[in-house]
Amino acid sequence: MLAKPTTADRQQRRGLLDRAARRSVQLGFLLLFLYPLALTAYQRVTSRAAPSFTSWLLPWDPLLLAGHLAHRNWAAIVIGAPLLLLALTLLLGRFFCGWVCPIGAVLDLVRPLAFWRRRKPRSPRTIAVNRGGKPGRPAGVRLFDRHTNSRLRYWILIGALAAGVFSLQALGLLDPLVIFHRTATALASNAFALRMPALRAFFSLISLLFLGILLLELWQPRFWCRNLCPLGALISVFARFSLLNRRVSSACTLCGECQRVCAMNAIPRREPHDTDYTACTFCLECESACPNGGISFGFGTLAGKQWQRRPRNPQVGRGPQLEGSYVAKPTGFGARISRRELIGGVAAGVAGVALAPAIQLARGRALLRPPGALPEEEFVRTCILCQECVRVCPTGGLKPTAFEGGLAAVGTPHLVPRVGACTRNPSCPHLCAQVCPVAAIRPIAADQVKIGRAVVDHDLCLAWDQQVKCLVCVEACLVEAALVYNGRIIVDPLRCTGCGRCENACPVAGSAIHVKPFAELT
Amino acid sequence: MRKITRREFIARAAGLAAACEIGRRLGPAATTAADAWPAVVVARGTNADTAAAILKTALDGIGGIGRFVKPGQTVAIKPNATWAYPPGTASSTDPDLLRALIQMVREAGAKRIIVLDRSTLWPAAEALQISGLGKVLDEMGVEKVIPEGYLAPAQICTMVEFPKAKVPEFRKIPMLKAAVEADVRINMAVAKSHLVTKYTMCLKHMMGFMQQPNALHVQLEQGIADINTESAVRAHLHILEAIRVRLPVGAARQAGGDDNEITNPRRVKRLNEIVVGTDPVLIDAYGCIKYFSIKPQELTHVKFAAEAGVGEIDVEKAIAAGRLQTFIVGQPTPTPTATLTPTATQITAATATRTPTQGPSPTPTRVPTNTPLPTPEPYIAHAAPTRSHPKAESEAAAPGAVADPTPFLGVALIPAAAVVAGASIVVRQRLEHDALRPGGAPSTPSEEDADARETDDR
Repeated sequence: MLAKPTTADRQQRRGLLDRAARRSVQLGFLLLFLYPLALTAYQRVTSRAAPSFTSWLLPWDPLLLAGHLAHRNWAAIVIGAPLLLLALTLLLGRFFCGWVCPIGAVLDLVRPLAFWRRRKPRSPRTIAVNRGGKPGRPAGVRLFDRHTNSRLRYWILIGALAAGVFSLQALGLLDPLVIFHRTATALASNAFALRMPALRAFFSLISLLFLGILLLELWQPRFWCRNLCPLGALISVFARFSLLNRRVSSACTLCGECQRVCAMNAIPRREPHDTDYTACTFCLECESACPNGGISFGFGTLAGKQWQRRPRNPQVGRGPQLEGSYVAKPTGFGARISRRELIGGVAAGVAGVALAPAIQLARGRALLRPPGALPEEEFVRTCILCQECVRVCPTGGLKPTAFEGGLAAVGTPHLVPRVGACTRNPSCPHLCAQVCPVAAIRPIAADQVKIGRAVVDHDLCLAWDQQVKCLVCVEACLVEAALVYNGRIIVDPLRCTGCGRCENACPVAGSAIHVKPFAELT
Repeated sequence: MRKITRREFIARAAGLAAACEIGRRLGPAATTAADAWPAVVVARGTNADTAAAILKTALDGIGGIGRFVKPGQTVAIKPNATWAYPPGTASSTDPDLLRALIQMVREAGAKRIIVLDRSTLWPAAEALQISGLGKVLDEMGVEKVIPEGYLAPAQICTMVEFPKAKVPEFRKIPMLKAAVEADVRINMAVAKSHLVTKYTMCLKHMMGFMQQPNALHVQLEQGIADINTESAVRAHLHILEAIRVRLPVGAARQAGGDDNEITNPRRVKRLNEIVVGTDPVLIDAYGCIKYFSIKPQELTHVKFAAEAGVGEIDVEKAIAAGRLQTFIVGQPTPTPTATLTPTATQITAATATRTPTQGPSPTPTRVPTNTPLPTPEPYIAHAAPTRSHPKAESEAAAPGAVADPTPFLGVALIPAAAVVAGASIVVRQRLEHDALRPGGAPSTPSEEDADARETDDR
């Protein structure tokens, strides 16, 4: 005869089911976001046409919306999806970070690999006694302490927004969704072409950022999300007023188990009744971890209020008391921002403003941009380095820039005709413009393409140097810009669109005909 | 035993050597079956004949496809799939012709059929869709190896040696692995003008087996001759399509364009001929005379190939010897263009009994293509060419119908279902838990409660 399941058994089963459900949601979202990339990889392998499938993830990004507004692109406010996400945040807190965010999902999958790191349960009471000081944020903790969350993420957010006002694209570089997208694109586009330029693009700085986030995860759980993520910072500003909240009943014995399982450090060390809603992702782990069943989640206006110790009410008896031995104390917005933090925020803004001209100074050579790209300065400012255009380019000629274009252009797309020419004229339906989430590439007509101009290297060209009738460039040219004149190759500058078919075709090692951007020609 | 004198020895030895030489030269001609067939066969039809009928006539004249393709073999077919121009423009291989050939090869019992080409100038998907060849490949369900750009991936290529090549750089060239490993290679060229070599036919078309075709342009004419010398990629059967021929107009010698015989009759001519054969030089020489009205020697790469011993360049001699014969589609007896040698007469008799193409085919599978040309289908990149099914075709035929943009959108429902399932489990657990609480009813502390507690505290 089976023993009747006890409350603890039921709670354990519930916890397991909850965790499985959360993994299912996270994996589902992860696969959904990887879907357009899988489509690209499939069509690369089977040599079918590339799809114009925009990412399902980037349009929801409130950080990109903030970037638009920082660039004084006020019309972007009509983009509904990020606003809807922020509205949901007011309802459900930082659920996005725990249930939706693909980086969060990957980190949750990676975390069990850190077998050497086991948090030992420590009673919060002993900590309070040992450290002294009042409850709340303890004074004198080191930066990136394992048990506290740094506010560096707000400073990064402020700095990046300030830099955005002064025409530098730093938000796109640090946005977790863009980082995820960029890395996945680099993998999907290059996994099947083990060529040197492809490898270089993959190992370039911007893809390594994701690797860095993974390594930080092995050091401390959710290190990126707790301390650095600018999107998390933006979301947590709204999540502070979340309607969903965590309740601790008087069954709490201050055992510290909930704090041990909380990856986000959302439960303050000395006040396990309190919850830091700027960190809590409502992962529900603490609910089933509590040995006394004292934790539950529900809707109400408790968020944004601080718990305050109060003497136990003897009349209630030993039964569970939802309000516990603490009372909710209302706190106003900004009440928890100290003077030091205010100064830090201002300093971050100043640093962001100062960063912009410093990076703009370190300029490299001019680059061939995709057809329909905004003017160079505006393009560099607008592009968020998400690599969507790199993913969909049907010839694979669009590649992320490493350092050749200067610091400001790292990660932006540029055309490498030797790898693949632009086929906007006459056939490509301008896929790069279709997928660009920030409209840094604008759709243009096929006959408007003007990327650069081809220039013949007379020392290398077979027709010029050896009088060999090679004429591959003439054969490749679709607009009859490459012409034969007295057995030599000349380029009609008015007709040349800079598509790069000639450079792609030239049989000379390293090509004897090069498409140059106009900035380099004049 | 009588001693043999020196004089006798020399005389007998010379006699024996002469006999051997005569026997060697005469013997195989009489005995080998391959030589009984002409090296090149021209089939001529009218506008009423389908491409399949012309091809059938030509192949019957040379011994049928069964002479080249044995059951269980792997066959590599190389059509011209380089240009993204619609059928009827004499830019790429006619889709009907490719379909007919694949059907014949399949009926001959081929185990695997691989269609390969180098799509150098256009994205492969686009070239296949617009030229109509992709639809044929999908319909017939054959394998395809069509790398894009001027450099095919190294993993699908292998080194091939050309020991007789004149240019030292061309003695070892990477070629498509699928072509090298196939048992039978069939080269389907289109007779066209060409910018560099003036005209392109079977010899130049063999460049499509290369990993890097533009590398040959360094010494193009000699290079074309070199890659046609004895090697592991030599084609067993060459097919020159001259159903429509692309001619040069003035200095413009384009190998591809979107003009057809109606929009530009000076450039695209309809001739309804197909030349098949085992000797690419003879095919090209015939094409020079017949289609482009030049001497074969004027075409440098044909001359070089003949000098390299790839084949025979003298068309008149070949016709006289019966090595080049012309058959008319639908006529029971082939019309010889020259006096037939005894061997050739036997072939004629054999062909006459074998010809099944009695008149225009009794049940034409397709309306003869002297009707207006098919309108070019606009290329939509996101409507990736997929395996066609009847419903999709009928929808695509309707004007204004939009093709399914993403054939795999349904796959995304699986992760979406995972999300919904996970979320619903969590919500349900919360609701159940609330119902089972000791207090009974779900307890949600309201604003008033909190306020009450605060006041109570004070």
